Amino acid sequence: MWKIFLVLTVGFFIGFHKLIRGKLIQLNSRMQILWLLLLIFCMGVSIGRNGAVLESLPSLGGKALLFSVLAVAGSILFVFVLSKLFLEKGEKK
Amino acid sequence: MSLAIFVVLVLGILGGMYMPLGISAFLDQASSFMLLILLFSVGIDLGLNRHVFAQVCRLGFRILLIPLGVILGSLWGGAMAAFFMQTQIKEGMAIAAGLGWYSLSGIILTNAGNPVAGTISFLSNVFREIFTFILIPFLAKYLNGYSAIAPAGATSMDTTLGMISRHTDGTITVIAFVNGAICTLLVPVLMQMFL
Repeated sequence: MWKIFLVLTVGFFIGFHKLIRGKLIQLNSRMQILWLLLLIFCMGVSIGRNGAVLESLPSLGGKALLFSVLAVAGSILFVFVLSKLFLEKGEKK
Repeated sequence: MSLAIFVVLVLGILGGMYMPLGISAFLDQASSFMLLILLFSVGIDLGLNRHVFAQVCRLGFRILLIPLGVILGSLWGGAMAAFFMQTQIKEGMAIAAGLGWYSLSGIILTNAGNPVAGTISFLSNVFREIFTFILIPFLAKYLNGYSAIAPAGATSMDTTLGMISRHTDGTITVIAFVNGAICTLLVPVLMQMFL
């Protein structure tokens, strides 16, 4: 967890003090897609190599799917309504 | 983008199943390194947007509405799922209180003497993270930036932060980080409440 804070803060200071410029800024932005896809690939590998996860899928996968769909739907609904009521109004002066 | 993510994820899962154990163990370790590179890159982008923090400060305590919505929405979802499956509402809420943090939620429930709920919580929060990656572009486009943070829950401070940053703006990215940090701190507390 502290590593996350560290890299974000170091990155932030590099950006804030304009230690990189021009093409490097663009390159940094473009490379994010690559890092993101590599991260997702590695996460997929973690799931795929974990035998326990795959074995429990047939018996508990359906229930887990219902939980995830409803938790995601509920979160989106609540956040969307709260943001419309209290956050977006402040933006449009 | 969502399609690319889905394809890469499926390739990763198949790879994890069939590639030699040595390579998959290496890639498993590499994921935390990829995450740090990605967040370093996101940090640079945030630093370049100097006005970001002023905008976040202007929202003030209202920023807490996002984790509040995430938590209420998730617990509601967990309660509904438990209702449909005719199990205990409380247990359903504990399962959903993982807010996407699958490793911890699975362990807490399993250690509390309910390995089945632990496995369901683990799997459902893995699914939640997968859905989040796929949904973020659509939510940012058709609802608003705040809604793109909602499915991420506790992961909006790490694994899904890069995705949020790509599809929203600097202000939303900072709010997403704060949301993720608050959710992460509250997951153990919430789960204890429903055990």
